[in-house]
Amino acid sequence: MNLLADLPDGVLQRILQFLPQQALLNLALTNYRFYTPCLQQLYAHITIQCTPILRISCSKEAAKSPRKPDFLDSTQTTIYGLNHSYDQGKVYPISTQLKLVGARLTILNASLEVNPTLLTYIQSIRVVNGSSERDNYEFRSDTVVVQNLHKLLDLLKGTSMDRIYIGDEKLRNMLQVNTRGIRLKSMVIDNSSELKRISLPVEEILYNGTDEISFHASVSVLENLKSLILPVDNEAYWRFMGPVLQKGVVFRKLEKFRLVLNSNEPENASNLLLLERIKWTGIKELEIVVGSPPGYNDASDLLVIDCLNTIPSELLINLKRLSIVQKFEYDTHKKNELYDINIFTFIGQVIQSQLDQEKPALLYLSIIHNLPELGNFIDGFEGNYLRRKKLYSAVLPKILSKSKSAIELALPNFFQSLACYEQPMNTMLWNGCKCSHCKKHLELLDQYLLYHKYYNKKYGAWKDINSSLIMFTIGQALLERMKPSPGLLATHLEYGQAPLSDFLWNYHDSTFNVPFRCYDTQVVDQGEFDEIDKLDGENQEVEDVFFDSTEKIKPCSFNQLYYKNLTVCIAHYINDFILQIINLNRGNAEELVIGEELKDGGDDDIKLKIPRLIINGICYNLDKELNGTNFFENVFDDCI
Amino acid sequence: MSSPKVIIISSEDERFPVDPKVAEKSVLIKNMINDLNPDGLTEDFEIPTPNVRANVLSKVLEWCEHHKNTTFHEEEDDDTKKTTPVEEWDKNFLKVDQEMLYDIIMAANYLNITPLMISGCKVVAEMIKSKSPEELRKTFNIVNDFTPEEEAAIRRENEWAEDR
Repeated sequence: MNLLADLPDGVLQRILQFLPQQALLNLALTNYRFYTPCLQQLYAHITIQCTPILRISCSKEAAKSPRKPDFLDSTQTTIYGLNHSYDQGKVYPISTQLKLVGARLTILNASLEVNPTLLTYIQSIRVVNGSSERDNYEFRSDTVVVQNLHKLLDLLKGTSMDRIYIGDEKLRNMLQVNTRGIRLKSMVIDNSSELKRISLPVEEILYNGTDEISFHASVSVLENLKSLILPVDNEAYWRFMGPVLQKGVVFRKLEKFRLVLNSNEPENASNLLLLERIKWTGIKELEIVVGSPPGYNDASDLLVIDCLNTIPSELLINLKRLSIVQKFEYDTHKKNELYDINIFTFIGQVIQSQLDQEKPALLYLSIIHNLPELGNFIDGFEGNYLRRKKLYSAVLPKILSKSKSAIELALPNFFQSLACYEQPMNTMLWNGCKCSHCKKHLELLDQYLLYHKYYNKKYGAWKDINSSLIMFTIGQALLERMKPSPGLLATHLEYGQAPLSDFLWNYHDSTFNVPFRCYDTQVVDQGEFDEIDKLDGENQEVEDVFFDSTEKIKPCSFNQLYYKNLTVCIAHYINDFILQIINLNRGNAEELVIGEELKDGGDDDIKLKIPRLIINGICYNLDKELNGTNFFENVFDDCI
Repeated sequence: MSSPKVIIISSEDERFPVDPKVAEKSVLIKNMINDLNPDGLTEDFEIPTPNVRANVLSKVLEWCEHHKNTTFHEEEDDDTKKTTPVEEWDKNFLKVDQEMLYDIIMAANYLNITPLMISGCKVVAEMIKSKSPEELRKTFNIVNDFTPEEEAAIRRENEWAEDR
């Protein structure tokens, strides 16, 4: 066998699975042998979004890296507008992106009309337009895009597909996917009355209804479901699940499930009935939404483990993907630490059960926290910060290392949780990484703090931004890379199965909950009793100005391009945390003799069972060198 | 008395005695051993592999020996595994000429050693990435059988997916 073209179809198809879209296009153009297999792969899974996907930097510095990146960009063919040109200082606004998305969709539809065979290659379509409601509004208001989506769905009429997922509920209502005559294995249901549409071959339901349901769906169809995702909201969840359980439905074939535990009373009848009606040995993907309401009672932190203990972990022997979502916000380090220890105990139980059964099934773990809006823990002292870091750099990896198989770890907002400790964030901002990039851009960030304020809803006033809040907000923007679809239906089970988005924040839009505002001059801190400066911008003229503030007013230079530079600074900070995980922060990492004397755990002692780690959209690959030394690679953010 | 070996025989009748633990990295061999020796191996067990040449079999067994203590997931081609990079050791092991690389992939396919086959396929994919159609033809010895018109038509048909 000496030619690529001579490989049998099955093997060639495997190779093509690992190719990004441009490589598939290029290979399809070389010879007819590759044309059909490449196009089958190219059209199989299509994602439509405004934001370009995150790519490896093309800079010379990045090219020096001896290792090649992973295969995230080969999971989907993404229709987006244009890649940002950071080297030329260009980022494209959403209006430009939408024009290009519209044009690309027009060409796609034309190709499908000319060559209907291509329609049979399509297995799934995801429309994950934007992260904010404003982005969603702009997307669904674009006539060309929406017309083309209508046309695409018309062309797909009569075909069979796995799924069409549209993240934005309003766009879903406009497109009415469920009434298009497309045979889908996965259905999104927004209203309980639509439940009657469910029939075979539906294997998956993503239910977004919040109304009181009268039971319409066929029991047999529900019992044959392989996947059921319900809203995170407790009431909406039980409005669906209550009548379903009353009807006597037993989920015999369920493989993927979101479990929202009513944690006020772990052992209440509904929880226990639901837990009885699931065949746990069949579950492969599980998202658990758990947490006790703060202040529920003195023993509220114990409720988390009580809830988790109701799940028969000994039966989760086939569980491959696990996501744990913190249901309620805890405002202190102490409560968060107790919660973390409880969930770690549960994770350990699952791994132990799989070990006992000799079934190393777990491949993926996601842990997402519910953090204070202003990014501050009341007891965010440095000692507590160090404890939190240790919990995730030492305790969790040790638990995971007990598994026989490697486990991919996603901590979607872990950086934000570290940002909740103000003193370490001050250290990072003013005395952090000393590389030339960080020195330059962290200094600029310091300047940003002098000219910007945030709106404090509690005090109804614009106040100074502290280092915690700015880092927390940057972390929130980084998280948007991982959030392809807004709404209640997105689970945290899918990271690593689709490319990350190259989301950029412009430092001024109120994309997130806390509004930021730009000032032309440095202004004096507004005390919490000063209520003159309201959200609508009235009375700005009464601001006190710093005595050394310059009179010359410059337009604000903080924009999306600058944000991109800052992602590298955050990545450099997280790099230190990764070094702790792989025990390379000991200074004597290469010194075998000293290492032995100090008994500080050498490379051999660290059983690296995490091949990939994603923290707030920053992606790391972890492995061992040929000589056994651990190493990590920051895939996208080492440099611009 | 030494423990029984699995003797894998190449297409040229060359014999490769290995520990059962090494041979069982191949699901094909593991199933054959289990089916034909339900009570476990009591004596050497010969398995002919008429599709695999000795030099290729030797490489494949080197991989099996290195990974004899690695636990691979039953569903090694799970979506999670699809996107992770090739392990450093495998990447180095697969630094061979194209012909040997394809032979290893084919042997892994035949012997049902999914993790090795996936690593091999990923290495080939890395070779394909970032190359123009012309560079691909040169690298992989591919003859262009499209007319310029056909090539232009394919470009137009799939222009919607181009990276820009």
